[in-house]
Amino acid sequence: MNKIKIRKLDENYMVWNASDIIELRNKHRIVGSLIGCLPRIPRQNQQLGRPLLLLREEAALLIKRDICQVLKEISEPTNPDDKEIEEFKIKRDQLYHEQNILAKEDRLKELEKLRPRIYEGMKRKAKKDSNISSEKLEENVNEKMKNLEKRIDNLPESAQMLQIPTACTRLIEAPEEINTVAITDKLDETKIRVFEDLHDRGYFLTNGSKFGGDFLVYPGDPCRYHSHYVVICLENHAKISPQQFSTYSRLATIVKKTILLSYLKDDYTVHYISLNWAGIS
Amino acid sequence: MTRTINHPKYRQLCATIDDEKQRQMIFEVYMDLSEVRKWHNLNIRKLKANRFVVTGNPMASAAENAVYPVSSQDKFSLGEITDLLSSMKEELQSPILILAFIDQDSTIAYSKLQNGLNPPETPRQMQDKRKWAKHKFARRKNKFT
Repeated sequence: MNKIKIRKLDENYMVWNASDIIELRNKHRIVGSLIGCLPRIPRQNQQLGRPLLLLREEAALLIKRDICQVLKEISEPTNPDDKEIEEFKIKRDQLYHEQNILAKEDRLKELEKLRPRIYEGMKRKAKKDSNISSEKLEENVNEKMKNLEKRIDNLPESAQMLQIPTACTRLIEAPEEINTVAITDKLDETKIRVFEDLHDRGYFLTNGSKFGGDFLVYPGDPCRYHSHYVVICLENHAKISPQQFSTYSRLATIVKKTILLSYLKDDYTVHYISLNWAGIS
Repeated sequence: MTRTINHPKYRQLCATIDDEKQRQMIFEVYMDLSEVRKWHNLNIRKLKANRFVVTGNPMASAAENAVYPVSSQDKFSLGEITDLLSSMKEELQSPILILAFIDQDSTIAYSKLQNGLNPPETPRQMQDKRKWAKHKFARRKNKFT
């Protein structure tokens, strides 16, 4: 089985292959977030395209489960030489040429469709000077069509379709041997463990910063379900003030979710406390 | 303060709760639940480790809830709260505990806590609750007009 390829850039883990992205979502319940600009609709952010940026916790899980292979650039891509540029230009010209032929064929077909209308129009005109025979009329129509065909222009270069490569063929990559993502502190570790635990329970998890937490927990695919929980990861011995509790429970009420306060116990098992507003103001 | 001390409920509490701070907090929660929130069947129960909770039903038909008062000056770690919840779960036979944070000016904020995952209310439950609130509001309005 082919492993999913993840590209690492600094500490960001990204997936570029579309079928890999679909497999991650359907098979492994890893959602990530698409961050690439769509070339056809650049001035919006409702819909974005590849690459898929993985959360650090998602990357950690994929690496731990040996589902993916992390690739790293070995050398910087060099500038293309003259020969390569020439090849590129020839390829592009060829592409334009093919499109031009196809465009002309399309235009001819359209003209052919207009033929009966042209015939009708000329017939109407011919009635006025009634001494024209039907053969003559047919001849006139053919002549007119030929003139029109001659006038078909080349496809303007600005209207041609360009093929935009989605992968760099010049990139030299190699698999990188890493066992885990870089963990800086205890809280980081807590987040990774909590993510893993909830993922194993069959939930979908996404980034929770929109709701003031670390993760959002969905019972099914995020495009079909609302999330049930907002996960807030804390350190075991960190003290929380009652004001903080009020903040969390008010938030939980207003977004109709449960706040999950989660931490790592001393024996490294994950523990959750569910927090709701009591409904008593 | 003198008024509180002379309150019959407070005098009654003096006999059962030794710690003055705890007594004061239990009294405040009890009064809030009985006089403001109109809870039913209010009781004060003593648990292990000299802890006291106020139990009662928010509505006559609703299940019993336990409220544990804490001072809003105190801070808690999640480990402490987990221990509190699990020790109370055995005695109360209910996984849910309501913490009442009491401020010095007697402001009380309630939060519902539970160990483990407790999914939020379903839309149906929320709808029922809203209906009940509407009904309650209408009844109160009729009472005053």
